[in-house]
Amino acid sequence: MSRTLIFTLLSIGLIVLFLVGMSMGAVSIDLMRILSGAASVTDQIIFFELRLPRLAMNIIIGAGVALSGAAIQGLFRNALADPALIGVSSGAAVFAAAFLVFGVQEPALRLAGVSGSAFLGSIVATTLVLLVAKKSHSTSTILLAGIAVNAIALSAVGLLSYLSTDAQLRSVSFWALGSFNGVTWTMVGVAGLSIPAMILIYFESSRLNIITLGDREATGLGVSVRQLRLRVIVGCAFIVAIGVSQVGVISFIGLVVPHLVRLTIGSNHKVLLPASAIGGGAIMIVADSLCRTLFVPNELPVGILTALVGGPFFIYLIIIQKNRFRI
Amino acid sequence: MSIKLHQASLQIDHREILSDVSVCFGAGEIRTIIGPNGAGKSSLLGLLSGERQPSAGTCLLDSKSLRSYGLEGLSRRLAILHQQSSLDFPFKVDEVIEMGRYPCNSSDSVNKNIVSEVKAKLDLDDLAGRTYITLSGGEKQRVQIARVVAQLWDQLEHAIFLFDEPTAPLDLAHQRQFLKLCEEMKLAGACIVMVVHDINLASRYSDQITLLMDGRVLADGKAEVVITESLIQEAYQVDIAIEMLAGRRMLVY
Repeated sequence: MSRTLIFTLLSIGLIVLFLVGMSMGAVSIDLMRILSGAASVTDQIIFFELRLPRLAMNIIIGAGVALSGAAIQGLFRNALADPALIGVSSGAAVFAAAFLVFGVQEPALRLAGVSGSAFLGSIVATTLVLLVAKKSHSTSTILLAGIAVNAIALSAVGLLSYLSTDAQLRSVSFWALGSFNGVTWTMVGVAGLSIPAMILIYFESSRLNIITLGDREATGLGVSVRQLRLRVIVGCAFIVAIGVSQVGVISFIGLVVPHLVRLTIGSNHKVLLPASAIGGGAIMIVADSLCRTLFVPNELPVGILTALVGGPFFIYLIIIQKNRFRI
Repeated sequence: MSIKLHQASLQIDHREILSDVSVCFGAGEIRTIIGPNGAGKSSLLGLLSGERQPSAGTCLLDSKSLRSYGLEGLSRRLAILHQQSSLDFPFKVDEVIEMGRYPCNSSDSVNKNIVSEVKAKLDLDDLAGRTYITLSGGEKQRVQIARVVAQLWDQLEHAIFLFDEPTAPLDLAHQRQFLKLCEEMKLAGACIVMVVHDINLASRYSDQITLLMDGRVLADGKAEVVITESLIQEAYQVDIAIEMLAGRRMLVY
């Protein structure tokens, strides 16, 4: 398939899903009536203040997580890598949990406080990983540092859960599951701050291609591996941190989507990164629309669905990939 | 044009890998480095490529230190093939070769032309549409060689190529094809330095041979000076004989 065809198909898919997602929900809405202004005020509010920002958020978060996943996988030359490896998600979880347990309990400040702490936590954890691995030239040291920081963070969340009251515990675990419930335009605006970082990561495409050859090969081709690594990790940490701060942890999109794209159109990051971003946005819409509509009037946290479907699907991908590439 | 090591030593973890090595490689030469396992052959290439800094002595490219070229500047003068590449993603063969063009800032069409010229030289046209990770070891090696050659293909007169065991996974026909390509690049002015294990191949194709042992240069010069029974037996601790066959020195063991 040619690149143009791939992007056309992906974009059409995204637009169709966007339109379907807009009309789907606890209340079904006729798009034509909204556009012609004939819809009731309630429908208009549901449409413009609930559904539209939520779909916009789906696309930004899905695109950001999938693009970061693709970039981190290339950087570490490992199709099983994930932004979570560099501590972004677990760092966010610790700080968010700490705020929920010890922070201001004022409801008005709570949302902003949790978001702010989660963002801070992501950045602190990633910085820690980079500092531990600072002296080393090797990728595996970063991965090991990531594993260690993740383990520490996980036990810290455990400790905080132990210290928390039942109500706090519930909000900590609910937050960790990830959900698009109650997304506002303000939150979309905050999440939109990750878009410039996505563009910067895209500009690293050809260097990400080269680093898959190996660190020494990349150096031989004039690429400063340490600087590239720093730029990509900081960029991805920023994208994921912003996302996590707004909607919580959403797993498996960053792992599965780039994998799927790589299987169909190859590894060239010039195509892989944008295609993963579009694909991630599309899959996020599907997942979140299902979460909104499956158990009306209740809502399933989307992080549960992505992990529940993403996990087995990933296993499937591992199996078919084995048959395809290793003869 | 020349690249040279002057009394260079290399220590890694307090172990002396190379000691007091002085060699000079010039334009229009094919030079081979031979020696037993662990003699320091790859480390020598590491010093020449700037990947490692000598702990004593200097490494100079055209009388200037490698450092002064900067990473990017150096990659426009010097291309290196390492022993194994860790590439494990489904790239197309053409995409892998074109990665070699990254430092050159040349246009897409120029790069495409260079890629197809180099592919033709290395018999890679049939593999063009294939995915790299589905190739055999020898095919992968030819693609990697093509990537390294493509890097400096349009400036062979200033080019230095460092190949670490380029022929090891290649069959006889492709070994010859590669060496013919080296001779062609040599005529265009390139300096080609390669580490090989096949001593007969070294003596047939190289202008001079450097024999390393325990991190030192045991002998350096033309085949008839280096490929002698006493030197080879000293370096490898193996009984061998040198026979003349069709006017060439052949190692028999």
